[in-house]
Amino acid sequence: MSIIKAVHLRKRFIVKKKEPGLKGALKGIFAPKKIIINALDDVSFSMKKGEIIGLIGPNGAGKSTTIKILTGILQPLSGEVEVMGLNPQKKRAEVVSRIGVVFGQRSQLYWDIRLGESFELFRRIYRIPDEEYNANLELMDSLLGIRRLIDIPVRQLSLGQRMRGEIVSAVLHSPDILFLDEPTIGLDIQAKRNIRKFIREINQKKKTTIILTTHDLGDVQELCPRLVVINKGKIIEDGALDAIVHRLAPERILQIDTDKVKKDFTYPHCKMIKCEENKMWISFNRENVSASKLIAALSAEVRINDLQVKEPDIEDAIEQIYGEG
Amino acid sequence: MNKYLYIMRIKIISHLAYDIDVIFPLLLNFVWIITMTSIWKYVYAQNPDIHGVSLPQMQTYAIVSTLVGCFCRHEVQEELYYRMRQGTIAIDFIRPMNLVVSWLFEDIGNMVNNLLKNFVPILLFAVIFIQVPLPQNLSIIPLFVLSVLLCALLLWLISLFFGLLTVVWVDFGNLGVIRDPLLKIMAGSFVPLWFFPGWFRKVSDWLPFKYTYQTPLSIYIGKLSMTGSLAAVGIQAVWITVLCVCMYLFWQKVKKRLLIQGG
Amino acid sequence: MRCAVQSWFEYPLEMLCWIIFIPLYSFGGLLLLKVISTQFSEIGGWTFHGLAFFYGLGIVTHGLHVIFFFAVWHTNYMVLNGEFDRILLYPMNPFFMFIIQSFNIAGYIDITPGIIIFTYACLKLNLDWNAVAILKLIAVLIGGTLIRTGIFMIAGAIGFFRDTRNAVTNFMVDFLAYNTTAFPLNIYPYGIQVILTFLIPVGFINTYPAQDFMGMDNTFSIPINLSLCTLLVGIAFFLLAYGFFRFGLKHYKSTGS
Repeated sequence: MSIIKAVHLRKRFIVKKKEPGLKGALKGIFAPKKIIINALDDVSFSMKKGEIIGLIGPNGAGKSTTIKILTGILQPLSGEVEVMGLNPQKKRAEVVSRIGVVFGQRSQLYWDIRLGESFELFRRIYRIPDEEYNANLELMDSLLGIRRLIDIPVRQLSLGQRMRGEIVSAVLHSPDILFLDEPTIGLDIQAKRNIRKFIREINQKKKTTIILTTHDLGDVQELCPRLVVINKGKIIEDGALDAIVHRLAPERILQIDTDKVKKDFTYPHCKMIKCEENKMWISFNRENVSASKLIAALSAEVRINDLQVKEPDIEDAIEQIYGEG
Repeated sequence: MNKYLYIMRIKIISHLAYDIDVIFPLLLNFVWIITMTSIWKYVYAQNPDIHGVSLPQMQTYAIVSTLVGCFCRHEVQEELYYRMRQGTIAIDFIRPMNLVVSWLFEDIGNMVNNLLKNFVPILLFAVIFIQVPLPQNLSIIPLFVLSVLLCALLLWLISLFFGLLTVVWVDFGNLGVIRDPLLKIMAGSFVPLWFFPGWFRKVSDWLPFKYTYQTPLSIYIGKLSMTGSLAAVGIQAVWITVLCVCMYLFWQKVKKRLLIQGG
Repeated sequence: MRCAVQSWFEYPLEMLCWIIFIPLYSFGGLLLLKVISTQFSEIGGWTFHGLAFFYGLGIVTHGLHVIFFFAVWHTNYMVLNGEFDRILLYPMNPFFMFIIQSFNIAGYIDITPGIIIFTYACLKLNLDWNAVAILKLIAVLIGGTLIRTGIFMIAGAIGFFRDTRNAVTNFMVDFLAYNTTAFPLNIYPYGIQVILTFLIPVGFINTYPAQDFMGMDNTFSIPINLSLCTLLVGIAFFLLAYGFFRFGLKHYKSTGS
């Protein structure tokens, strides 16, 4: 039984093309030139309870549109959405009271007053029972040290501290699903680490289903066993992170330190990608070539002082996906 | 209900953040009282009775107008403009609450806040330097209070209208530039409409603006008879009903548009 | 200059909205003067056309101030969001930099109704526009613009000492537009006229110059010609305000708040 189900989602935005100047603007009122943007083009996926997925894609790919449709604040053109068995557009109030949303770029806290006031407001909006509220605050304190921040006006918090506040405010009501839209944007390493730790813990402790969008592939690598890649409104990859990386970037790279390089070295299915004074880089595909055989062949021709095999990484894979799309 | 009351509380607290921002708006109220009463004194020096209203009545009108004005200061229009420009308006839908009601309570918070910060200082200032603004007849006070509350609600609905219009016509910018001069002249908060030419009054009879400030103020200074007062309050109520219905329909339209087109 | 032109391209409809509605504030104020003066034919020696002359003059200096010195309205915001620090980075006199940045051609929206009202009043009043009168008018326009600018410089400089969301500037906008340049000062009690003449010299923006052109008496029987006086007061007050602005800037730099 899936907790989120999206079937053949389509979404179009009609954008009025703006022409420069007053004349263009008047023309825009009476005879607007409209451009149709296909924000989502047949998007289908589903999630099980307790899963974490990383939703990634370049800017404008449709990540935020997907989240907005799943949270009920945007209506799809066609297709079906079910969140916890409900249609988020028709049962918006019911759905939004059981989900938590953080928009990393848009604060939902009250700027001029202490952080605790915002929490108290959310406690009332979501009608959180006292025991649950206190227990959650306790948990958040152990994970994110939130009690130290609670009496500080939001405008005086650092970006990392504020993001902790945003996240806590989204989980106080123990949501079943947590949507995190770029929660680590602009944060330093320590703050990112805290937030990743929090995401892992809340997923394990409370079985919260989490959808995470990010541009930081470190987030994905550490948190998301499953990756959904979206580009130009289409899902182009959906699966386990390792499998995607292996399939899209199968090349490994062998780096050799040697006294004297051999520029014309060849070996079947291998490619010399760079050659310096005493260093060589050779790429090879793990499917056809084993590293040991390649090294053996190399050592017959040059003297190897040191060597290193570099595994393909997620960045390479993603770069390739974006490049294709 | 609880949540809306808390929204109100948050508004009250957040306005106490900067001290200078408390003092100068108050000072402006003092200045307005001085300006208005000075003008009436000057004008009445040549003529003791104009349109059946005496100088003390007119000074009371000015003082009470300032008091009502300090109370009825709403932010819904500016807030909607700001959220629209920032693109955060659609995001507000992720809370399980009625947005229009939450805006109303934000502004009730603003009103309570203004009452606490400004009402007593303004009243003291007026009593010490101008006169005690007593009503013509103490028995109309309940009707006056009712009329002020209706005035506040009517002003809020007008602001909401311009706010929603801002959402639809975002390219036109902050539509407060349309609302403010309309209210400044047609509400009678400064110069009552009985000073204006006949055609102007005829037009204003058919618009909601004069039922904001002018109605409660005229009741207070005894410019309106008892039956006239009751009729005016009745018209206020009619306008509120009409605007409520219109704003409800308008909001459904705006909401649908936001859900389809995004913020 | 680029800023204002750009906004025409980016928000043309917003500019259109301003062009239609900002003049409404000005004409609305004139309507109030008309309403009051028709009730009593004249207010203390001021005919309606005299009032229109006075009122139009005030709006023209407002428009000039907005065209040339608009940035001073935003000092507080610039300090709060750190934009002011950028100005301090230029290898120039920061105040000069500040003024150059503030040239705002969109101010023609503000000045146009003033010119219309002023011209209308001049036509109705049959004033004799000889060389002396024209020189006097120029002196008055420069002086009035400088007084307005000085007031907003002082209001803005308060932000160097205290965090504020432009409260003092907002106060001054209303204070000048509706309370002091919309009605001749002689409606006010004597004490307040003293304040508005010698402490905050708003009287010299339009009340005294208009009285000079109409050949009317003023409350304080100031011995020098009132139009010339406006220019002198304008220069003096502007320099004073500039001194205060510099003082605030020094304070801001040393505290770095």
